[in-house]
Amino acid sequence: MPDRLDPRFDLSFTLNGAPVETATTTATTLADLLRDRRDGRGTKLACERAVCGACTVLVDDVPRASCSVFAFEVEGSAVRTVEGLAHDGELSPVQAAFADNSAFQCGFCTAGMILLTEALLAREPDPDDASIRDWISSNICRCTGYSLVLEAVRDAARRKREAGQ
Amino acid sequence: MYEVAQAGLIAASYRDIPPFQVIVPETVDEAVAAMADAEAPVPYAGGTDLCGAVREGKPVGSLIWLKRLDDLRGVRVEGGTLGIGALTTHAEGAASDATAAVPGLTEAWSRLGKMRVRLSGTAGGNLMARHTRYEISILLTALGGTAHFASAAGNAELTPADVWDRAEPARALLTRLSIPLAAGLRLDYDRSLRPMMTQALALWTDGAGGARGRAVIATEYLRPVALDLDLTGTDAKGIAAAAYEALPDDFADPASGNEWLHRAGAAVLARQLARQGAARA
Repeated sequence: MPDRLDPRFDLSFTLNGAPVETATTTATTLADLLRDRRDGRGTKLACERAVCGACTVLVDDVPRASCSVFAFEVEGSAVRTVEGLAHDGELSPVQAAFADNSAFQCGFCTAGMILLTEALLAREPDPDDASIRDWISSNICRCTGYSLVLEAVRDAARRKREAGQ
Repeated sequence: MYEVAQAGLIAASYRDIPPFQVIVPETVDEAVAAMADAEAPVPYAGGTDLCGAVREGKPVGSLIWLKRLDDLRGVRVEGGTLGIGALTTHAEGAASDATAAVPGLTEAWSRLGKMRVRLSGTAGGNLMARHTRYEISILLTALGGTAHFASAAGNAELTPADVWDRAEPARALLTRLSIPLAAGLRLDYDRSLRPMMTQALALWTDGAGGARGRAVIATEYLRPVALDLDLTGTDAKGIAAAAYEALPDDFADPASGNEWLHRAGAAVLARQLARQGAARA
């Protein structure tokens, strides 16, 4: 017999390494769960159509548009959001690279861009420009024109390599 | 009184989606049974589209979540066909060695969508979404491929055109796509004018000088149209112009009229024929 989830069910997953158990509904999106139930306001909602990528989070290291992922999909998964990147008050190499390269203006897309970069660098520690463009074009920024984002990704790759990450 | 919410200009919030039952089958047979028995079943694969579709009014009584059906993943050469599991993601398909059995398919598939979508979006979901801007249908039509469905009423094999016409059995589950392999088969997919138009060209050459070809044109708003090519000539522009005489007069959309699509499509086709060495530029 296949497993079934009732419209209201208990969900278990890890969020930035910490176990989460919460009651939710099958129609709840991951973005709503993170923002409203886990105080995860770093996950931004913009287009709410899985196009802009501002709401990007990592589900088992795969970048997903959390506005369009039902929360039930993360049962048993590891979810990473921008809140989980810094440690002991120190920005992650990718966050630091975005900050030092001024790779944002309004900053609304930045969390999604940073998580997309984390996913890219986990797969390709030394990506070429074509690969960076291919990945970053998944998300939309309406302020910076992308050049500074590309520079930040290159810088982030260098910082992670130097840090042995 | 003018009511904004009634004007159709604002989609429903995600928060208005009513909760539904989720069924997680372990096997294809269980999935087919769930499709047959569940209330208003909707199959769910990569999860890149359904939230938006529900927001636009797609009813969901039960979601049949296919994530455990590993039998429906992967690309394989099976006898004389290339079989593509319906749950194969675009990233997996483009990375599969088997995809190279159709020269040009790897390159074409690797261009579909952005990376975030390619990692989750599936070949089957792309076809079954029936969005004109989605591209698996274009490639499958050009290559003479078919879609295989399983249902409680039996199995069915449909052309992409049949899928657009929703000719599959009621409550059927797409299981795989198949492309007949042939010596000399190759694909050229041109997206340089997307979203105005894209065009896939499939060529079959028999090594003895014989050749046949099919071009498939599609736009952001129009389902694909296939044009069979007469390759007995050697002039690419002449072959393209002759093929485009068969373009339906009503093939036009709000962005591009029939005349523009006729001229642009023929020009792109001539370029593709020359690029593939099928005719002289």
